Amino acid sequence: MVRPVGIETEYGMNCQGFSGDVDFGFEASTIVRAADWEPSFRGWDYSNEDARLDMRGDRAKALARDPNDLRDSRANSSQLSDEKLIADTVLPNGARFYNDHNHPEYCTDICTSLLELVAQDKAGELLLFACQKSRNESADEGEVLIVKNNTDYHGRSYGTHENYLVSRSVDFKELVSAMVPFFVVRQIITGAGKVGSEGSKPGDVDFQISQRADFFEEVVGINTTARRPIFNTRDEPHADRLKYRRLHVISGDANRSEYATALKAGMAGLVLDAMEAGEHLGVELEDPVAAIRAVSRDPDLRAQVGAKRKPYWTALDLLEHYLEVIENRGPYEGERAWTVSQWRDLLDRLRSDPESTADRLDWTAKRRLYREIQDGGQPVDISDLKRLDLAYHLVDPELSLYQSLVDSGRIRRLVDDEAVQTAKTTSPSGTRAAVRAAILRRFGPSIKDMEWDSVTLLVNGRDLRLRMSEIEGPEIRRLEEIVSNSRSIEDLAKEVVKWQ
Amino acid sequence: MAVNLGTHPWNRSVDSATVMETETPVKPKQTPTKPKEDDDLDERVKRIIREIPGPTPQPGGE
Repeated sequence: MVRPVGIETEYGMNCQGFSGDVDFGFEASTIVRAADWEPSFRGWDYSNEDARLDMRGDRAKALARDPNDLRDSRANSSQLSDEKLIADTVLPNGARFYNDHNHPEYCTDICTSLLELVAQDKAGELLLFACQKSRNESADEGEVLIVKNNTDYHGRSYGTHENYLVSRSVDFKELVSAMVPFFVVRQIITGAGKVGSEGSKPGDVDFQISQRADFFEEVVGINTTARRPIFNTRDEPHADRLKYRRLHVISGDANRSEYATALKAGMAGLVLDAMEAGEHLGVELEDPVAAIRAVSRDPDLRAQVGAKRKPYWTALDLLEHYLEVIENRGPYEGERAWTVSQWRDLLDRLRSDPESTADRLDWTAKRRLYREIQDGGQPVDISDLKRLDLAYHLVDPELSLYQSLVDSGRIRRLVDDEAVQTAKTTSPSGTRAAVRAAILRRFGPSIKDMEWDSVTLLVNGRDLRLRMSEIEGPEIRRLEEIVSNSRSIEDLAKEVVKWQ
Repeated sequence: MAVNLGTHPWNRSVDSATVMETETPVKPKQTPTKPKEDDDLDERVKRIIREIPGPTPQPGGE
């Protein structure tokens, strides 16, 4: 078991063949409503959500929006009800699927295994591809190609967020001081790679490590759609808020590589484990925003990160610092041991021969291929490379460059197709995710509302709200038994009242 | 979830060298047995450059 983690991915929509401006809200809604995995629940309980709650103790008066987004076409979406536009859906595997800021977003339920996380995340790619096909077969105009990436290459970004449960006993400043430098440098393992540069400070960059680094403007903040911070302070644990924070990580990339996805969660989990155990990991950087960009834009890995303490000069040095602290806390077992061994091996290879990691890391896989193409005499310009870069992230396996690299044996996988197929209809195990999925499977018609930590059932005309403020443990296991063993909704209601 | 951790190399407490030696690339079970012409990577690259549209503008998200 590893630290509970989930990943939310806003998928991109590359649109062509439309007669006028694309109404992205309408298209995202159409894509989400095309989901046909059953049993599903259409809806979401927002009553306990408040994205303005800030870890720093305040509640933001408003969240910043990119003014460009407000000018997008709403010709078709303005005709839809809010429910139809947002199209909230809970899938049979417990994942959430909806239209978030005009992008179809797939959120895995909470996982305590990296393998399960990878399988759940990959199931999302299958879902999006199925929805793409459905939309393109039935729509009146245009074609939408779904992309699992974080940029349109025209200066706009959409997110892939990780969520980790962290003890609220960890000091907030300590959390920031440890995680900001980590997020600045972990991209050398978890970056998805990108051709060119964007954002407020574009430069003369052919290729960079991260899709996202161009878009960060602040070190710490609550916003996500504008003035994006490296450390997001949204304070919505979706669990017992006296015990937990949810670390909402917005600085990561959308990975196609299964290794990168697993390591992204495994490495962050180990850093958080060390923090909760009282380790002081923070290394102060002169300018983290400049550093995250500098690291990304130097795939030769020589960029200095501006650490105020020697000897953490480069991303390699600083990531080595985190790894040494974690190695010294060992030995580890299972997925934690695997994460540490991969982290060590990849770091050593990145120092000596970065392209030897191209079988596991997105950015080195891309860089190696682009170099081969350029060295092979095939005439390619920057627009061809951007086309290839986009194609790496397409979810259509026939068109995806990532899939081509997998098929040719160049990129390793961690889970097989059977596990990914299973993850379409099976929730992550051992957590409240299994409870939510079991209720959906067994008592779907009685569900009135759902969210991450509660399910509201309609029993003989009365609401029964089932709250799950813990992620896992004996109480959750008992609840899963109750749901599995109840013969009727009335039985379930009776047992749930006793359980609560 | 049908993932058998008992047989997976992760489920061992071993040093990093052993993990790397025992790991082999996991190929998808549904890999076609008869490769299509497109499966040749060079051909796929050429096809992408020829057929895939360039990146089009999108809204920002999150």
